[in-house]
Amino acid sequence: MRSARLVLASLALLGAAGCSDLSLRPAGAGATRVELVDTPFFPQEQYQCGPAALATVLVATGIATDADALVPEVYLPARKGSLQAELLAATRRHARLPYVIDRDPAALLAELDAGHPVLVLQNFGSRGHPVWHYAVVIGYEGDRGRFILRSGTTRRQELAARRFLATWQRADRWGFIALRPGELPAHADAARYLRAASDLEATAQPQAAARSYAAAVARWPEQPLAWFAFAGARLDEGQPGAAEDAYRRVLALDPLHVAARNNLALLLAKRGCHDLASQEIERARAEAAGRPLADEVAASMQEIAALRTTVRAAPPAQCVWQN
Amino acid sequence: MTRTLVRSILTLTLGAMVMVGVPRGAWAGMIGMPAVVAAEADAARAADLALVQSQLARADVQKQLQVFGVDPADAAARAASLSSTELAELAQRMRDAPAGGDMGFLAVIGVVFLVLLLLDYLNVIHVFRSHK
Repeated sequence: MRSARLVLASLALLGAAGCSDLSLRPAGAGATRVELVDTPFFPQEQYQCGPAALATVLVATGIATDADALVPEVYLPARKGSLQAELLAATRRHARLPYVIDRDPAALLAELDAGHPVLVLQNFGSRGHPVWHYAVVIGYEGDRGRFILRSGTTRRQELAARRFLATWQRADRWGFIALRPGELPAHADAARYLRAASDLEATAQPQAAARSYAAAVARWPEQPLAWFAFAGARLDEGQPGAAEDAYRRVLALDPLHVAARNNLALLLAKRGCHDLASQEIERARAEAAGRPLADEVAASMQEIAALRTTVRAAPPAQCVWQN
Repeated sequence: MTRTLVRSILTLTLGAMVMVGVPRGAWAGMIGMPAVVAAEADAARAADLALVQSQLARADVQKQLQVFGVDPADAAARAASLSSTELAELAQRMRDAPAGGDMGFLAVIGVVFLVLLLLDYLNVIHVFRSHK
């Protein structure tokens, strides 16, 4: 397995350097083949490879749709094609998290190993005269130096690794996987995953995003941003106590996290810990000065001042916290 | 007619509120993930741009840029208009390259090459392209 990956990965490097005459070598013993045979297939019509490829990865994650249904979502008749950003946005609309993989064959192989078909952009032309195509990589045969795709009107397309990687290279090795809520990529970057989940949240899919945040906290308990996201999801579910705990986790990991301190101060004021809230929001204000979140913190200060008059003060014993 | 319109607007508004969830929106100043992600992206972009600009401001790099027929001020302005992804890629490659105050000749060439390659690749300038 590992040696097969090495062969494929080094092929990519050599391909990038222009050694197109390289002959494939068998990778040796071991499991070298992965094929996600259950991945559905939607033969494309005309230029509509975008809807077809998108339907392939969405249905593979349990969404009930098909290529025709996705045409109005992602197909631009004037361009005879689909934009990458639209494929990502449409994935979010269907409550799936689109994760753009590393521009690296090793990442592609890792996702296939983990059972994630990868929607890729290929360029069958040149840099100057591109011929774009979307397809879905569903497997590889390391020993034969081949990738297996659902592509165009071909249900099972075998492409020589060298050929596939060259077409992928000319498309800047762009590709993404569609993840179920709470599922993690095999090759995950914490910041990128959290950004993707945040985009999902912003597309009116807060429940789906909440499950991704929970998965992120379990996978990266050392990441302040994961706890921050987790806290927001608890708030949305009406669990301010759990949210407060999570904001404290953020601040334990990153004492200068202005947004967490801001939100914590609001929660404290909401439950009557006015002095503590004022102290925290004052600190947040000082730290946010001249930075992007300064306006939000200023709004919070006013809110906290207002809460002092409307929320009865809690007993001091309930307002103890050192940081 | 008007009543139907009002009713459908009300339904839509209420529906939207239920979908988004009331708690965070109801509190002035509560900061959500999208705002934090955007703020972090801004900060990262600023750091990347500062690194690229500092490299472009080096006398040895500027001299080499001129050898290639590129106006250093022009290159700096164009670097500032790169997308965040492109800027991040350029900055990362500069970080990976041998650094330090006393860059060798090869390192200078490396920086210049990276800049030209990226700008050219984006069809901004055409040093490496003969005709098109």
